[in-house]
Amino acid sequence: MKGLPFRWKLTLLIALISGVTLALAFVGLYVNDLYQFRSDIERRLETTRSELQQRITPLLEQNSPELKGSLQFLANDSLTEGAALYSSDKHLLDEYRRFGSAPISPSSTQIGELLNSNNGIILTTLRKNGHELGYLYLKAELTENERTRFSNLLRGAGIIFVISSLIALIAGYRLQGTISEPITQLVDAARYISEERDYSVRVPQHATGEIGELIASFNFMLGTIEQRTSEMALARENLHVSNLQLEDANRTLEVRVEERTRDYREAVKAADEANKAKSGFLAKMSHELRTPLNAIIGYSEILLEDATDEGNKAVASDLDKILSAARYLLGLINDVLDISKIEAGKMELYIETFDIQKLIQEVASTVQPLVGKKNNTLYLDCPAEIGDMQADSTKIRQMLFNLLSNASKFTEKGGITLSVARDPDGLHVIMKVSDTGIGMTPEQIGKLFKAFSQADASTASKFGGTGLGLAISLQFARMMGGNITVESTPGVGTTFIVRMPLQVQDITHRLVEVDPAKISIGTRPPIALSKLAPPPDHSPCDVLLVEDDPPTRDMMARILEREGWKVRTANNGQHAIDVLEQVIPATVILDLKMPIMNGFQFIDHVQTKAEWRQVPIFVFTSMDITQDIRERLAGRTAGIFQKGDHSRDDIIHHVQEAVQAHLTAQKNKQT
Amino acid sequence: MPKILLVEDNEMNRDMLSRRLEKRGYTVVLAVDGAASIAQAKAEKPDLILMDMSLPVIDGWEATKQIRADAEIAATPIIALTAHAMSSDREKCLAAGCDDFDTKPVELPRLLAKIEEMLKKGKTPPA
Repeated sequence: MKGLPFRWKLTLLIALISGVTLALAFVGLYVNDLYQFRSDIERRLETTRSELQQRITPLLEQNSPELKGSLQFLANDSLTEGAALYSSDKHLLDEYRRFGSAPISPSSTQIGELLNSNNGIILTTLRKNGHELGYLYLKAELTENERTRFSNLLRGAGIIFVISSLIALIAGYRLQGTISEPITQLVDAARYISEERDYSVRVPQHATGEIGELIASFNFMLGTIEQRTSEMALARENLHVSNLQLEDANRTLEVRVEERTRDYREAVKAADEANKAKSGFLAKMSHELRTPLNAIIGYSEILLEDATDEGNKAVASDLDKILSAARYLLGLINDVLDISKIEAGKMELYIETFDIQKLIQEVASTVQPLVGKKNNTLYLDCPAEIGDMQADSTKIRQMLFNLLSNASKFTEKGGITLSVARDPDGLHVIMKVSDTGIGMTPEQIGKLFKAFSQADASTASKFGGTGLGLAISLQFARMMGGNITVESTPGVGTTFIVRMPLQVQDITHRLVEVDPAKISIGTRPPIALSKLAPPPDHSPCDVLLVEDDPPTRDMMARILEREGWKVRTANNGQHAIDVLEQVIPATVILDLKMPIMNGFQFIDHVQTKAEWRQVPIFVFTSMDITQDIRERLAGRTAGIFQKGDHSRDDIIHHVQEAVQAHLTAQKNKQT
Repeated sequence: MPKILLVEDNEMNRDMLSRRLEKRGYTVVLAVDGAASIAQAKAEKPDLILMDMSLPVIDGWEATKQIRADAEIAATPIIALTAHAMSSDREKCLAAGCDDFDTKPVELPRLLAKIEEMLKKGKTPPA
């Protein structure tokens, strides 16, 4: 029953209900009919009894022989099946039996039991005036009648049942159209959807009522699901598109990163190659420059020896100048080579163990002539028990030499102290080079260790040097795991502190800029430097030569003097102004790059006085004469010349003209 | 007077140094490359060799090795001269068999001191 389709369930249910109803109706009808039938039988039986009673009682009273056969008239009565008459002593007097019936008369013993029976049987005691006369037994023909009635009833009920079953089937079949079909459709739709995942189907809305509502809800639910599904599908599609875009972007990015990396690598490679080429070029150039320079130095030395032997002092002095210029150039080339080696990472360390005090004394004796040049005194403070250290002695020597020569450059008539001590940590040695020189400002210290940068440009011009020594020294110190720091007070002096490990390991070095934050600086005000003014000289002057480089100045002065002119010289612009205060020259030959007051500043200063402004100024410079320089000097000079071969004749020519004009002007003034 | 073999390919350097040494009384014989230096050493039997290291044909290091390998002249003191003032060069020179080492450009007083020291040491009076 449970597994049956809904349609059959419904049909069966209808059939069952109608069957039960029919059966109940049939039973009711039958019971009712049976009851009426029984009571009818009993009434008729009672009628027959009273008829018989009236007829037989008198016969019994008389005990007439008519008693025998007295029951035979019952043959006219279809109802009675059998009858018997007993005497009061329960002796059978007469008996009637319908034809074909089995003997029914009860035995005399049964009479007492039958007295109270009412099942179509009547046993009556026949009395007269309270006197028992006999017993009458009547039996109605029940069975036959009843069977006929029952079978008729049953037949009718069966026909009705069949008809009603047919009606139930038809009704069920019909009913499913309105009840089960929509549900079946719903079930089919649900199955289809669950199998196909197609939420676009809708169940036809034929039914009304609860099923109609169910279908509507189902359809609504389907609609919601479909909408969600399509939204999800859309979202998924969008996600997919986004993913694709992302993947694409990723790929593009990867490609770009690859490209950039390649570019970067190429750039690094190119830069590296360029750097190597530069270093290679510098090394080659240094070598190429050194070879002729060595020849110059060598032959100058030979000539100097000869000249000294011959006692030719003028020539010896000139040769000495050539020698010192050449040696300076050689030093410069060596420094450039060192810097380029350091930058290319090709500077090597040669680590050896040596006695510190011995090295300090050697350095001191090497630097002694240099210290003495400006009347400085060198003090040494190096205890004998300081012991050995393990480092590149050549580089330590070079560092100390650089620092000491630096100190003697910027100190005059002062003291330079080289003190050496072990660091309290026991692992380092500290070498201090102190001077009582001009000192430095914090800005100057910041630039101190950078290659090609002296404290300021004018310092380089005034004191000479390439500015490479300190940068090289610092790099050497760093290469050996040490450092150089500076303490300085302008006008008081400077102390360079070299801190080196006692046991230097050959470490890979790096080119490192000095950290200005680590330099401690004093705060005393600077002292004026212009103490170089010569004694006043008011004698007439043709040419004022302003040039800071002594060899150039001497050479130029000699050339001019050879022409018969009176020449005054000045080291710098300030010095030249001092000369102008004393005498107005016919012309000025001016270098641009000078310490204290450079050529530009000098020209600016000259503009402040009318009588100075009239003096023609010829600029004679080794600088590149750029458009910028021309514009800066426009209208304020009589000519700008590059130092070189041809300019000398030009200058002589111009000076000649200027001197002539000056003389004429003076003559005119006098007359 | 002691005889010095100066091996130097640069003409000016050779000229300068030979003149300055001769001026101080040394006899100077010359060679312009490594190969010639060996031949000259054999022919002239100098008391000392001043050997430039970057030389054509065979370089100074190789020439020094060959001289050291030749029993006839192996005992001749050799002072290396090199433009590369590098510690590794010094090592290389000493490894090749040079007795001493000086850098170019020549600083004459220093070189003379080294020459004299070497001659004193190397010229043990003949028995």
